[in-house]
Amino acid sequence: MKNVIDIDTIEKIGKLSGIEIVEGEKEKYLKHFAEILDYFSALDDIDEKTVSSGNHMVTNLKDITRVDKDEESLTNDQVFLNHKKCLNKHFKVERILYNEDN
Amino acid sequence: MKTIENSKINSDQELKDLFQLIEKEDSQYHSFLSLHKNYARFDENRQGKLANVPIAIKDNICVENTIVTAGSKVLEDFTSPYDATIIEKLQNAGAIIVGKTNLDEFAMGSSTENSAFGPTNNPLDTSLVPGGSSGGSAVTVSANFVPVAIGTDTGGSVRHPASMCGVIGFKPTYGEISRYGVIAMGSSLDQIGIFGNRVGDIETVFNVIRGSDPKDSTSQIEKSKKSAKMHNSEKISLGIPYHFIQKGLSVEVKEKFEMVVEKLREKYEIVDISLPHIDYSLAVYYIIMPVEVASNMARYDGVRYGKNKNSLGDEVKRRIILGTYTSSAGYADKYYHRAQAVRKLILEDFKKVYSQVDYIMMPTSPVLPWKIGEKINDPMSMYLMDIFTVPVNLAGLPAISIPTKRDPLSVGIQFIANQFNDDSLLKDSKEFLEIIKNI
Repeated sequence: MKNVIDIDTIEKIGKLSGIEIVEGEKEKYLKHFAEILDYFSALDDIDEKTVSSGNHMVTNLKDITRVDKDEESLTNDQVFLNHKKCLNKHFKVERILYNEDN
Repeated sequence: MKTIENSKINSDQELKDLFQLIEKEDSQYHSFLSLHKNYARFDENRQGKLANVPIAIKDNICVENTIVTAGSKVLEDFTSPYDATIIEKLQNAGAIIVGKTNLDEFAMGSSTENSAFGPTNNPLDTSLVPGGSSGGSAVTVSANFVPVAIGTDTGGSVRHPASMCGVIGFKPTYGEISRYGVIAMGSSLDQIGIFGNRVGDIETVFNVIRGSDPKDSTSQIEKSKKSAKMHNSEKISLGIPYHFIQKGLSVEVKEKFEMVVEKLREKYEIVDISLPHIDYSLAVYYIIMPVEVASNMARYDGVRYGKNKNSLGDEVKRRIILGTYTSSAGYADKYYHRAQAVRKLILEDFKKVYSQVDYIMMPTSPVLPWKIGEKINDPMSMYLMDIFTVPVNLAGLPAISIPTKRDPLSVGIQFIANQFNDDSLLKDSKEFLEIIKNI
């Protein structure tokens, strides 16, 4: 295996992607990722600098924005249809800012 | 064999009978996740090309006021607040949406075993996987519940299960069909596809659901369509990239493929072609797709959609983590940016080859369907099942998988056309099917 990921990296990536990785799973990820990343090393012999980047692959379109005018969109009821924790038409979300200590 | 013509529902009773038949027979396949018994209606006044034709829909496409699970616990009780564009179009053409079909969680997998609600079984042999990720939709056609079904194809998820279940599966050019209302996986690769028993039926459905949609900017392709050109020779020419398909092909598939080529040679010109960068396709795909997955899945933060990402299954988590890694600072140049560049080289190779041949042909899957459970704990060997289908999504090309004789040894043969040549591909596929179907 040429590409070895360590447990620290797995933990860091888990945090970045918002997924809790439980203890027993870390080893499994290490093994699978080493195999997969080895497969990716096939690309190492390509010099990508010779390729121009640019527009969308298929449609050749650049970013599209719509005209800035009112359009029909979802109603309040539709927006809150699947939400279990809402209060007076507001989403109730988990706390995302913490002090360093807690 | 069900066709659009012989499957039209003619009365309330016939629709009831169909639901009863599905409830009874589907216990052995588990192709449906939900049946729309309370929503689906027969209406004798319905007009349109699909008037009262029963259709099954993959459960990652939104149908207003019904549950859409995407095969995941995260969305197990999520009600669609609106219709996908294709659902509106199907219903305007008179179709009856009978239910939603099983899939790998969020369409990530090649066997339909990653569904949070249990696997689907292959009607050709119920101990085998039906392929994936649109395995449920493929089975609804293969088991003769409906004449046509809708799936999505990000790296082969329509063509692959079609090949495994002995039916036809068609993936159009990227952008031909609006993705509005389809739960996103890899947005630069995702495309809706169609299953059927007749090419003509697939053509009918395609003409109903295709077209630009202001709600999906990548479907606005009218301008680029003009640039599409078809190779003009008297005899249709079929290019085979032998250098690519020789590796990893099982004995059974190889044998069947060679028989098909010999038969096709009687009528068409067969050309050995070279696609110099196609060997890199699988690596490029498994870098680009997880990066897009990680981005698309970020919305499941527990706020708007009920449960958060920790309720996801193994494969989806693996792809989110992999995509986050290969696009993170320090690794993006080595993986993601390089993969994007190679994707462009792959596309350019295809474009060059289409000045020599009309279609490219290869097997859809390197192997026959395998036993349920056989590969589920080995992600890399599962990814290799997509080797012949992913190049098509990377280049945004239209492709169709056409089955040989319907039995457990049935093999799907994939025909790939240049961008925007969907109509000619479908037209010629009718003839390909006639030649292949008894081999």
